[in-house]
Amino acid sequence: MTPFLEVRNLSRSFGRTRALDQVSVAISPGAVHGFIGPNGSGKSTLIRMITGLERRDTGEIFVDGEPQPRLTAAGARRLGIELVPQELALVPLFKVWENIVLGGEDNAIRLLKADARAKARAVLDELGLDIGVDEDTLTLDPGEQRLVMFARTFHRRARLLVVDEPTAGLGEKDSRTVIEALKRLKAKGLTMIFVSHYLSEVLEVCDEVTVMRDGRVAVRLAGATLTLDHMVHEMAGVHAERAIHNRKSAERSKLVIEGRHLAMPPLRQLNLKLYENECLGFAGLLGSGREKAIDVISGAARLWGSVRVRGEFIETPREAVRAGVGVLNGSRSLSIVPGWTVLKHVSLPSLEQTSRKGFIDSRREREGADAATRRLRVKGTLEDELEDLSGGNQQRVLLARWLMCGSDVLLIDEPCVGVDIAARAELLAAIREFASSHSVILASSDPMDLVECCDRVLCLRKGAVVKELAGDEITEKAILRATMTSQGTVLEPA
Amino acid sequence: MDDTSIRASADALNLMASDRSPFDTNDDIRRERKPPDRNILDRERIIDGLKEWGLPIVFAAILITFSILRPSTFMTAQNAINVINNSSSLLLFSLAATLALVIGEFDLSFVAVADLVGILVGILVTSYGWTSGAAILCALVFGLVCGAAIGIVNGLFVAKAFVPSFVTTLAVGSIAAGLELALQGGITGGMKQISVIALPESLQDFGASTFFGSPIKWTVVLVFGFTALLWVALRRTTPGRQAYAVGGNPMAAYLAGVPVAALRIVAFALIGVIAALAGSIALAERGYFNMASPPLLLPAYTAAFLGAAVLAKKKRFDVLGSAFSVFVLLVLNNGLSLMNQPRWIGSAISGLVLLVAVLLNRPKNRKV
Repeated sequence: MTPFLEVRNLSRSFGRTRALDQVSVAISPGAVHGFIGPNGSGKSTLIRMITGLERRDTGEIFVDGEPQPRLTAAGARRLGIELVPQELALVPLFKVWENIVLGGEDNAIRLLKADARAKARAVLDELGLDIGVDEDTLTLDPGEQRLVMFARTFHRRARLLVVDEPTAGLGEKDSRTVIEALKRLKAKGLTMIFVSHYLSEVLEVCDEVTVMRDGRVAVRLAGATLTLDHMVHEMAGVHAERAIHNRKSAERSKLVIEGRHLAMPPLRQLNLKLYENECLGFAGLLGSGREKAIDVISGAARLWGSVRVRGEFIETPREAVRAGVGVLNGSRSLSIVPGWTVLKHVSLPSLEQTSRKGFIDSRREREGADAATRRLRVKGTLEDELEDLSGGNQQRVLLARWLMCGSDVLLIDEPCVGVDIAARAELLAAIREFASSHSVILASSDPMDLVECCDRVLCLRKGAVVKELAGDEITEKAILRATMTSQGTVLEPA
Repeated sequence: MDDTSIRASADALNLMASDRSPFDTNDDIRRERKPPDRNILDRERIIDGLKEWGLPIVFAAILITFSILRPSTFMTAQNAINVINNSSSLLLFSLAATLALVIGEFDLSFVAVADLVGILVGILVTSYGWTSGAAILCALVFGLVCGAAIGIVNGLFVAKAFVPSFVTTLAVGSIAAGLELALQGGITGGMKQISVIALPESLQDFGASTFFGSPIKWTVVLVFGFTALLWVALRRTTPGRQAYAVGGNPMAAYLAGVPVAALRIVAFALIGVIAALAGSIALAERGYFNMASPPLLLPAYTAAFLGAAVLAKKKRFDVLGSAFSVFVLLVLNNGLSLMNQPRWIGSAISGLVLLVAVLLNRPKNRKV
């Protein structure tokens, strides 16, 4: 039988990084094929190529055995390849039916309302979805909104559905709704590509799974080899057992930070204790609440709960800074003031300490910033604009500001995003050095960051802590198991 | 793990950190930049020069052009004094606009607030007979307090309720304009205006007296002093630096512990005070008219953007840049009026200058 879709030796480079390297996959009609792999393993590049959103450097794509030398987004759609993107692409103020027919209207000029409504109704019935066509999109559950996106692709008579992370950011119940719908689509014989970080869901829906790593196909799993254990093992890859950091089993005498009942959707509840000289890590996928962990502790975004730093309650980042807690955020848009020099960025939190009667003391400002940036070996001068520095240097500058400020606790979120490998090692070394005499909370989507830095790791899944790892239990595999597989099947770390 | 091994591992960490070869001194991470070209006609060099000196060049060109076209009237001391003595309103408004832009917001209400305070003070000192020196002072202070209060309302809506400042100040400005109309009923004799002669003499003196024998008005000196004060406050003090941080990236400022909400409220209050000052000074200089101030909102913002785009090398909003731009605009209009040109030409030309300025400073590498 000809595969519905076949790709051969696809490659794509972005600058010097090879995002995709000689990837070949065949997907037979009616099959549900899963792609899994760590961030940056090439999954999204591959599906963007299949849906015509990304051009290829070399390689071939066949649909129904026909070569597709120049696949565009419109071309892919004509062939029946439909992408359900990770982000919701619905117009919130539209009715459900309007969203379903959007982009797939029969008549380019006139919208035949009655006709379109009927068609949307038919699609929803066919999918067995309990959603009214006249409901407001805004009032639907997040899970139901995903289903409307499936219905939209179905309305366009999709033959291959490419589903990218359909349950990211959804709670347990909404995830179930989506997975059940996917299984119904599968029963109807629809060919699908399923990309997800939740391995249990992949196992539930897929017939075969391709594990990707560093832009290559690591292994193809099907039938008897398709088990959770195999998937975790293959994803972790070569550096699975690399334990770098000599962990301190912290003498838990001095409590530095205590957080109680912290919540900020999707984080449902978090209790934490940070002791002196400890590096506490937060692991979890996007949507697990890990991305909110630092915000709830610093007070930047907190719906519920309380945080005490050495007994003092803190409600806002300002109070946190005054209590000696610094925040370092990997997202540049949350940390860089456009057009500002290194000097201004470093001194910003300490201005009130170093100024005299409100007037900036340039000499003290410069001396403090100079000492702090020297300690962290920041390249470039204080007069350079921070935007012009490399990612790793930017992060070190933003770390230096807390040295200048005299903070003894750091809250760090995604420190290594957009930082190259060499700079990453330097940055993590700086964080470890800081943690050896102070305290650090580190949240990262990359388990290796945590393995290399932390003394204790809290693993989050679907908004709650599912596992606490300490000391030598902290390995990439253990973190992947705890964050990516469902609670019932959490395996004891080896 | 016992104590000694903890220490050992800590030592190992330190060793790791210090043994690691620091960065190669010759590996420069800065992005490569084109070395400066010695050729004086190099295109980039000319553009860079224009960006840095564009506004002074335009100013000089305006001066030279009008000196040639109107040699007898334009390049005279009297004309220069005229321009300077008529600058207080626009200068104050441009300060208000600059302050709003520094914190990354808009304020559309300050001209209406100025008019409101103008008529308020005017009524107090005429209809209500607050004519003694102390009473006039009270009226002026009352005006400033009203301006500050309106500014605080703006600030609370923006900083605490997170209503976009454009919308908030549009609404507050409309309310202020409405109140101004309502207050017109309080003018003695059912007039729609308060002429300068109707004002108490001491207030007239305040608006007309000159600075220690020089021909420059006291009020203008006051406004210049205020400009300098605001420049120092924004560039040399902690709250000033923090205000720029809020304007540049409010989230980054918030996470760095900057009191974002307080700064926004204070900035809007200060804008209110500046507006009140502008209203009171205009009253003392010219009296209050039905069509109170000339349309100065747009020129105020034009000056602020022009100053940011061309004068300051770093493209930030700056008090001195705005002040200089105000005089460019005023001289341009003055010259055109000496040539009996209609008003629209001045407006159109200043708009064109602004367009060219922002075009020269457009962000690079933008796709969307």
